[in-house]
Parts: sequence; structure tokens; C-alpha cells
Amino acid sequence: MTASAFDISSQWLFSVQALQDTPTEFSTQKELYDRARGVEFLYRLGSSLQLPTSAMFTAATWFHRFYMRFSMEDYHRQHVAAACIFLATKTEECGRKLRDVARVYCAKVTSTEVTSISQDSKIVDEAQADILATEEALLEALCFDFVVSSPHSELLDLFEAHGDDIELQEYAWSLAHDSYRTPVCILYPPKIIAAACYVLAQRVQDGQNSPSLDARISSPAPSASLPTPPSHKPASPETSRFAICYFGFSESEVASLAEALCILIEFYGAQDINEVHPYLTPIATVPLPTITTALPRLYVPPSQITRQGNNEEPQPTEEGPGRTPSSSHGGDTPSK
Amino acid sequence: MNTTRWHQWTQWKRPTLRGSRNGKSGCICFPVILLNIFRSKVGKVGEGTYAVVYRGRDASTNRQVAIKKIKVGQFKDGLDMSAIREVKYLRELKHQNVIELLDVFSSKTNLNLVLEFLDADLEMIIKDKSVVFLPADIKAWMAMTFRGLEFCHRNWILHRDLKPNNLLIASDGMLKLADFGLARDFSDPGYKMTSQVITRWYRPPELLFGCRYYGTAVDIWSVGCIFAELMLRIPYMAGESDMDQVKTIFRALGTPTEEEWPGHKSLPDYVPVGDFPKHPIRQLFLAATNDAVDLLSKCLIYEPRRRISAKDALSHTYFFALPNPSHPSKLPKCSTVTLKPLDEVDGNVEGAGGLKVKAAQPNRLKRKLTGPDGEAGRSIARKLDFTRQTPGSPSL
Repeated sequence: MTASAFDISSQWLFSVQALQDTPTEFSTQKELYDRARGVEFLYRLGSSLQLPTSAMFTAATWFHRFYMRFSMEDYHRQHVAAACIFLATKTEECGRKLRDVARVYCAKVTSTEVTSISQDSKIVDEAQADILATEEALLEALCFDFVVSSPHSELLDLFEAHGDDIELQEYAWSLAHDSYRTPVCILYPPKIIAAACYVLAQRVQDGQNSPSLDARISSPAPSASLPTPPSHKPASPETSRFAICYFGFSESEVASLAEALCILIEFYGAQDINEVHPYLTPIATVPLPTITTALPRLYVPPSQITRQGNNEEPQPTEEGPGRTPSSSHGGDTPSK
Repeated sequence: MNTTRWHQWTQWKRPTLRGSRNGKSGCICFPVILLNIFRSKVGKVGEGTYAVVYRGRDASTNRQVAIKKIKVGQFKDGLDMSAIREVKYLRELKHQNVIELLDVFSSKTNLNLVLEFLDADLEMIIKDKSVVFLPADIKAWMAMTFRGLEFCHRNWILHRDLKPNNLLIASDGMLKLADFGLARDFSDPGYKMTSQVITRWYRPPELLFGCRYYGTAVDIWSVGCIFAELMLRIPYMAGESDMDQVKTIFRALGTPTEEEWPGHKSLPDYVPVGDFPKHPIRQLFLAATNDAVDLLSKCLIYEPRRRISAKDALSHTYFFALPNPSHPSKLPKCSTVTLKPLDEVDGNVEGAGGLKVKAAQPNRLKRKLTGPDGEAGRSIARKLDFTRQTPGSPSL
């Protein structure tokens, strides 16, 4: 919009390196694993409250921004998720009563039905106080920048321009939802994330023998000038490179795109694809694109997560990643 | 850039950055903007229900600012909606006819909005009977109102509370839209919105009938009412209750027929209030030019979709016909100044500590604190402690 609006948004893009320097003392892998669980919790709160998805994406972005400034030891992910959801209901004009948010929160934490949580029980009061206290810290961390853009609006433009089949759109749309489980929303602008979701969706849909991600996102110049063997020309190159051409990415943007793709695929790869989420296999097994600068290892299967610091929390082994545990894991209330 | 940000953030966390006190001059200093804060009776912005307004000064530019201090903790639902709306929209809107939000910062339990300081509002000027308006003055105010509003609408924001006392006047005569506590964005036409917005006298008939889907036309109606008020010098349609408001409108403009406003009878809160004849709007505005009456009647069209848009209003012949709008600096000002002039305030401060000492301070402070990325420091919220009273500051 205006120059100042641009400045505000660019303040919220961090380098991948910054993920390793967050205030949280855990190992980066552990932190990202917990962030994913927090976003899962946030989504579950949001859908129980029947919020519009746009409000949930805003809340999820804030969730990631918050942990760039405060540590996960001080603020429990569930409190932060609830505070993000509550604040988003206010800024996105879909107001919910604090008491209702608190009740749903209690229901999710204790794995019970919302109806079984009575209006005036003590735990609801406590949850309300926690949400309000966290909201204050959240406002501070956000610097009152409430306006957030999501990759979904970019995706809509893409869909409109391309007129794709519904299946591809659903794939890309779901990938964009899932992208919030990773911190890509604070690493790359929405356009890059939208393109990454779209390209990955195309690759998954086209199957294993379709052009690699590298081919899909490479610069057009060389291949256009070189004669292509006719046999080596599957599903027209224009289609597979549609998103890249549509956005007209520069070289550095393509590099970011490759990084975003790596993060997304690695995230899926770290899920329990054998037992819990077998349907993720086609995404998780997509070969990574080549990237110029090496990314740190961000995702490992949960069983391999080590944590630094002195917390004695048991390793979550039996749960699928991204699942919020029903128990509060000892350290539920942040140390005051 | 990211690393700089990060660097800055880690600095931000250090306690030294929080409002440190400069003992000699007795003022609270903090990075980037250094403000001297006074308790002063600066109007009741926001009706005093959720905010107290303080007057201050940006020491680096010597500019007057208003600080709207909102208590976060006092609401049972956390930060107040109107505060959220105000911050959300004003952070984005930068226009010469929209009040500027210079900064936002939080102290322990308060949210503080640093706004540009404006000394009068249009209501004060309209009510001040010693001031004479020329048609050119009215044209200038209308042009500035429409410009500000067009900018909001262009950015998909509805103001939803336009009235003379939300149109503030700067010392150089510029008019600015203020109080975005009821504003909202309106991208999605199918999204239900509340009809309980806009101060009654300026509320369009569709909202009075409980319409839940509306757009920019609601603000245009308000501007029409303000336009009429500028010419009449009294509120044009002042109803005593919501029901009476409908009657007042119909009495002034005639009861709408089904052709004039298709479908209005099926609005949720529609009640027939009687048949009032139509008088030509001209009768009441005898001194106005034809162009002025034409623009006014286009703002007050019953059917919201036919009401003129802010953009079209700006190219209406009224604004191009003679007399040309007055230059802002030539516009009439309020004769009764309710605020102490700043000079006097300055005097007090100097007596307390000496301006020169302070003037030197911010620079040193700035260099030390903001580091390599001084400009960008603006958007970073800082911690402040307002509970400490400044010993030198006068209690007005």
C-alpha cells in the first residue's frame, strides 16, 4: 500500500539463521517441533470457535512472530496460541467472548467436550487470566502490527489466472494451510510461499516421473534457448513453470523459493509417515531442490529431538508430531 | 537487514533501554522520540471512556504530539476493540487529511498512541458564532474531508463515525479525519457488519433500518450531513432517538418511494413513520450555489448504491467552480482557544530544568541506543514506565 506499510511488513521477515538465535534455549529442532504443535493447537481452537480461516492464519503468523521475541520457556505455546486466537477475533472483526475462548481452550487442554466445561468453573477463570496476561506480552511483541498478509490471497490470484483443476487447487490450498506449521511465514513474503505451495502441489500431482522441482523453478532462459528433445517434454513446461512466470521472480526470489520448498518438504519428512500420516508420503519423498546456501537442519523425526537446557520433560514418543498432547507436560504454566 | 533487526532486538531487551530518567532536566527520556509529558486538559478524545489524552512534544523534531493513553488492564476482554481498530488502521493510513499515528508503545499496563497534535475540531469552529464562514471556506473543508475519506475508501477502510468533532483542524488549517475507533475494512461484500455505528445525527437511513451489509455510502451520508451543517451552522438533521432520526430525515428530504429506494421496506428494522412531502433541498440552502446544492443532494440520496462516491465527489463541478476553495492557512480559526498555547508550556519546562540541557540529551541518547539502524527503530515497541512522575512537569 504505502511505503510505510511495506517497511512494517519487511521488519517481520527474518533470516533462517535467526531461527537459531531465538530467545528460546531449546535446540532449534525442538523449538520448531513445539511451534508446530502450538500451531496445531491454534488451528484446533480456531476451528472449534468456527473462526474464518483468515483469522487463524493471522493468529498463526503472530504466533511465530511472538517466539522470535519471547522464549518458549517463558510462554507456553498453548497460552500463546490462545492469546493469538483471541486477539485475532478482535482485529479480524469476528469477535468471540473471552469466556468462550477460555472454555474452548480448557476443553482442548483437557481433551473433553466444550459442553462439559461449565461456564463459571475455576479453570475457565484461570484460563481467562492467562490469556489476558499473554495478550499483553503478545501486543508488545507484535509492536501493534496487526495487519498480516497470507499466501492464500496470492494463491487465489494464481488459480484465477490459470484456471486449474480443483484437485491441484485443493492440494496447494492445504499446503498453504500447513505452511503455518513451519516458520516460513516469517522467513519469506507471501508470494514466495504461495509459489512454493503451488509448485509442490503440481509436483505431487504430476507424480514421481514429472520434472523435478529444480526444473520447475529454474530460470527460463537456458531451456528456452536450447532445443529440447521432444521425448523429454512432459506436461508442457509452461504449465509446470506457471507460478514462476506468473510472479516473474528474480534470481534471489527463486533462491528463496527453493529454500521454502526445502523447509516444507523437510517438515513433512519429519512426520511419522509410516504409521500416523501415510498419506504424506508422496510429499515427503519429493527430492529437494538444489539450494545455493546450505540450510541448517530444521526438522528431525520427533524421536531424535534433543533438547538443550535443563528441562526434564519426557520425550514425546507415542504422539504424532503436530499433535497437542492432552497432558500439560509438567511445565504448563510459565514460570513467573 | 535481518541481522540488524535482530541486533536491535537484543538491545531492546536490555533494561537500560527502558525509560531512563535524566536527573538534571527532570524529564523522562526514551529512545528515538524523547517526549516531555504533561498532564493537560486536551479535550476528551474518545469520550474519556477508555483513554486519557496527554500533550507532549517530540524532542527530536520539536513537534507537538498528543499521547492517547489507553489502559489495557481495565477491560475484562483485554485490549479494547476501538483501540485495536485505531492502531490497526492508522498504522496503515498515511495521508495529509488523515490524522497521523506517529508511534505506538506500551508501558506496563498501558497502550500509548502518539498522534499528531491538532488543536481544534470542526465542531468547535461551527459552534463559534463569532466566526464567519465564506463559501470558499466551506469548499476547502469539504475538499479536505472528501480527500481524506477517498483515501480511506481506496484502501478499503470505512470510517463509520464521521461527524464535525472527528474532523480535526491543524494549526496550519489542514483538516484531518480522526478517531478510527469504529473503522473497519470491508473487502468482502457478503460479510455481515453491525448497523450500530455512526453518531445518530450523521447515520444514514439504511443503518437506522438495521441494514447489515453496507459499504462506503454510509460515510458519504455523514459527509452530506456535515456539508449541510457547515452551511446552516446547526446540525441539519438532529433526531432525538433512533426512531425520531428516521422521522427527521424523512421530514427534511421527504419519505422515499419504492422507486427512489428499491427494497428499503424489507430491511430488518424497517418501520413506516408516515408520509412526508418532498421539498426541494434548495429551499433551506438559499445562499448556496447550484453546484453546492447538487453535490449535497447527491450525498443525501436514499438509495445507497446511487449515492455519490468520494472519488466522484472530488471531481464534482462544485470544486471547480468559483469561488476557489480557501487556502488552509486562510481558513477561519476558533477564537476561543481552550488549550494553553505551547509557548506557555515551554516556559514551564524551562523553569523546571532548562531546555538546552534536554536538547543536548536526546542526541547523545539516540546515538548510543539506536545503533546502526536508527530510522527503523520507529516500529519497535519500547518499554516505558509512566508510573514515575516527572518532578519538573507542571500539573495543569
